[in-house]
Amino acid sequence: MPPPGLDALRHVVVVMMENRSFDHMLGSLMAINPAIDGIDGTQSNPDSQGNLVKAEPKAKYQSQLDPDPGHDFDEVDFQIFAGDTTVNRVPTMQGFVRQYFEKRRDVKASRQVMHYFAKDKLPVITTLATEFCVFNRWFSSIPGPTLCNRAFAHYGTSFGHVGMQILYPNVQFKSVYERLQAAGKTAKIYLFDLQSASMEIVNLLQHQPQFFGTYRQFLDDCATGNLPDYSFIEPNYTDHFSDAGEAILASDQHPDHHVLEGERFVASIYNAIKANQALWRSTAMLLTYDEHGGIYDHVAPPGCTPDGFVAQPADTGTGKPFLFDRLGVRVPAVLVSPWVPRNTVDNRDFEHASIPNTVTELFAPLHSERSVREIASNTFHDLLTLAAPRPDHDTPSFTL
Amino acid sequence: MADIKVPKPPKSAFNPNRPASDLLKYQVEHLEWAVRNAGERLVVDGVVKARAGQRIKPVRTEADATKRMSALIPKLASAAELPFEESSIGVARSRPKAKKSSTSRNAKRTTKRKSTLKAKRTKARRAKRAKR
Repeated sequence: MPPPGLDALRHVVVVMMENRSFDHMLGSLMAINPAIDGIDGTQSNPDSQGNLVKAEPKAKYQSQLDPDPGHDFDEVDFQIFAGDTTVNRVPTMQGFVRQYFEKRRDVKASRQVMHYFAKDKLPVITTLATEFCVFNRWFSSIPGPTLCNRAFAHYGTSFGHVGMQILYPNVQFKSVYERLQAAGKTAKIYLFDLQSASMEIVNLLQHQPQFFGTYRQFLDDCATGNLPDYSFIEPNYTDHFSDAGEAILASDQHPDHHVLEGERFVASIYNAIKANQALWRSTAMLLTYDEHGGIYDHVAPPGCTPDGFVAQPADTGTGKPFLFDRLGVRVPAVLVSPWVPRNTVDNRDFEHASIPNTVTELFAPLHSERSVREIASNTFHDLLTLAAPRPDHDTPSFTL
Repeated sequence: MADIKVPKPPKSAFNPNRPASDLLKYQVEHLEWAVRNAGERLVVDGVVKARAGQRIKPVRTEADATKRMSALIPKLASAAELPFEESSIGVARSRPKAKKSSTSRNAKRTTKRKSTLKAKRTKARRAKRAKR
């Protein structure tokens, strides 16, 4: 018999932010819960002069990571393997500072890629992580940039791509949205507004407008009980003025956008779900990040089931092909539901293919055409283990 | 549990003139591609290409990206009606509708030929029977 929480589950909401590593956002939590695999004070990286740079809680909301740390495939390869290109190389995670030096040519500034946030600076994600479930080992799917990683969240593969120039016409594996539609279920990508595009808006072009909504519509759908079975929420990717002339800050947390605005964005989604009690008790919300954005993390990415695709040396930039047999750098991931026990720490390996795998198993279990990589990934719906939902006073609330 | 206050970023955090990230540049490029006529959409091995002689205007700042996106996104509804195919040889394909109609024209011709032949044979058989 499934646990009552799983039985009650009707909606999955995924919020995918931009370019921050696990240690950078959640590394401080190890001090309050040793089960969380964060920063213990021993982690360091050599700088370009050979001096050791320790990870320190000195991260700022803005202005430290400008220009953006490198996160193209070859740059991440350097960060993980510290420039070692031999056959039996080991992922040491010792190349972050030296790689960032290449971007800025400034030794002092390059050390800032080792900074992580003190717990109190991130009240939303650290509270959700400790009040619900934090994943110790959720990795980006590819040691590379945004779009190929986000593709894993939508399709369970990137179809052999490791870069940013990606379109997926006529592919063999349907997106999770199309799978749910075929199964008579509902799914939507909520982009922030019409001035901040969704990454998938072009790939799912033929399904305009039924697969797309805006953040405002998400809030309305929560209030009116019209949330689809599956929702994927994209943050605002630009600082821009609204139609009414109001200054709207980017909320994606991509360097060098202000991190607090992303905190407020996540809190607003949490609040919107929680404000509708029926929805709150039937929803699981996953907060994660597409990739680490070139920022330090200490956990070596593990191997994974290859998905049968090969990226050519010209695309990887490393002079070698990539067989999709290793995951990217670890990212923050938190599962929120009143059915999840406080302080849950999960130690299994997850990656973004776990998202379509979980959603498909839940809502379209008969859909069989999926990448072997997706099928082999772990699912997370078994974490709703409580016998009864936690009462409201036992779960956090945020004031914006 | 007590309510947790989430502070607002300072007003100085807002900077629409910040140089556009690669992410924004690619997003705009993909949208520009999507709203073009079918014959102008070129994808080679999953990579968006501009056709020879055409240039996708680069985005410099976040304000640029916002302006372009807000003009492009509303156009997507009509763009969605256009075909979405990949060219493996680096030449943009024409709309498959034309292909389809020429295929169906050929199919119609073949069917017509077959039925004419069948009618002729039936007629000959009947004439033969009548002679008998």
